[in-house]
Amino acid sequence: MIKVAKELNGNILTIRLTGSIEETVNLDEMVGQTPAEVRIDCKEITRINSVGVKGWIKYFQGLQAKNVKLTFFQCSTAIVEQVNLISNFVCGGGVESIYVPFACTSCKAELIALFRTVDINPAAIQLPELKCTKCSGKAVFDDIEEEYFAFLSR
Amino acid sequence: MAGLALLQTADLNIITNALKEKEVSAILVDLGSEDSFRAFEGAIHDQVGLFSDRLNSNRFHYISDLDLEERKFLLDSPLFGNFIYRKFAGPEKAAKAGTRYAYVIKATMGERAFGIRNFFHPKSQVQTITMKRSTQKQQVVEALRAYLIKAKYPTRMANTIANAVDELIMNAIFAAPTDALGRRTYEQTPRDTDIPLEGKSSIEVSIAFDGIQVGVCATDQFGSVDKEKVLRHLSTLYKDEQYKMKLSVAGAGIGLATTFRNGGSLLFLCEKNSKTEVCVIFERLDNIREFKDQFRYIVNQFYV
Repeated sequence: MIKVAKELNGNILTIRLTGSIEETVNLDEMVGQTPAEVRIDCKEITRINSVGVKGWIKYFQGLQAKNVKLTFFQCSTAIVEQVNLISNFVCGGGVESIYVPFACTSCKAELIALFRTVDINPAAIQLPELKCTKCSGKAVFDDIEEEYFAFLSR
Repeated sequence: MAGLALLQTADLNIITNALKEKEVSAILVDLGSEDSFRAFEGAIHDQVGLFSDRLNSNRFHYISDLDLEERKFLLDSPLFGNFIYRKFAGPEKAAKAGTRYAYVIKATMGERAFGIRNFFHPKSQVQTITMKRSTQKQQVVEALRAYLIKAKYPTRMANTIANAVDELIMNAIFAAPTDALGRRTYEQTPRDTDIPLEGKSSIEVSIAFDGIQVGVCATDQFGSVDKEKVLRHLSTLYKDEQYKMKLSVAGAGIGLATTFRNGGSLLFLCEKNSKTEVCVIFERLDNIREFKDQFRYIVNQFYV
């Protein structure tokens, strides 16, 4: 189940989505009226199933058809996976920033770090090494580079 | 495997003679190109007959270094049954993959392969839940996710497995039921509808765990899975521009395709008009990179 928090600032509506997106989610009902620009904070989206994907595309395609400017930011790993898997997932919108997964080589802790997409060069991905917040060990990128950043080359 | 004679050859005559003269329990086909597969298929066509009683696609296991999306020619072959995606580096991982797949070979040699236990070590734990209503799906999925996290699965692995199970159960509830004419009962029904799961509509979810692999299986009583349709979905690349997700298509398809791409093995066991089991099996690995890149396979066992 998803929770939606909304913040209207002038002509820009920011919506923060928290939880899993599945068949019970009706974004149209939950978000309501939208202005000319919508920013979608995807940090807390943990999971999205195929019916959720369908509902997501239907909703954002509707906004795209009304020429609403869409920007997705702080995209969780679950959302980045969908952006990579489905070509029309962001419905003409922009992806401003994404969370990149890291794993500690010592204690195996999962970590995430936020990157602006403009700072990532898909032709030569260079990610910094992070220090684990739990044991101070070395944390390295934990996914398949050519898959996780594939959408940047589209 | 104990008690089985292994015949390993690149000679098509030896293969066709063996198929004509012996009871062959499993055929593992390791051909790197479409041309070589066509030659193999042609030899069988000429010497045995593609639709001969001596052949059964349930017993064909095609080994590939490439994903199914790059082996689409297999989908047109009446021989195509099971797909092994050769994802391992080094002899140790190859041996582990071989051990995993040995369970598949053993299960598919029997009359029916039903039961997730067949694909696990005999001492593995298996739990079965009988669902009463469709709206219990989220509870089952979340309970499994919580169990995996408690069992120290990294969150992303737990989420991936939970998503796969979500798709299996959803398909069992909404895609499997058919009427007497074979029409999909719930094709146009919203997926959040509350449906009682009783009698013919009953659904069981089995979970198997052996410390290394976790497997989940959804069983329905309809036996209505369409092998060709499933394989087309699994070989579709939705990231390609020509495969933009269509809103007119129900949710099914993308979910299972995603499961296979994310490291899950898929098993489709179907007795026509009687029963279907669709299972996912994931090996637990140290990190997501290895998890998504793990050895995996698609098992298709269809019984008429």
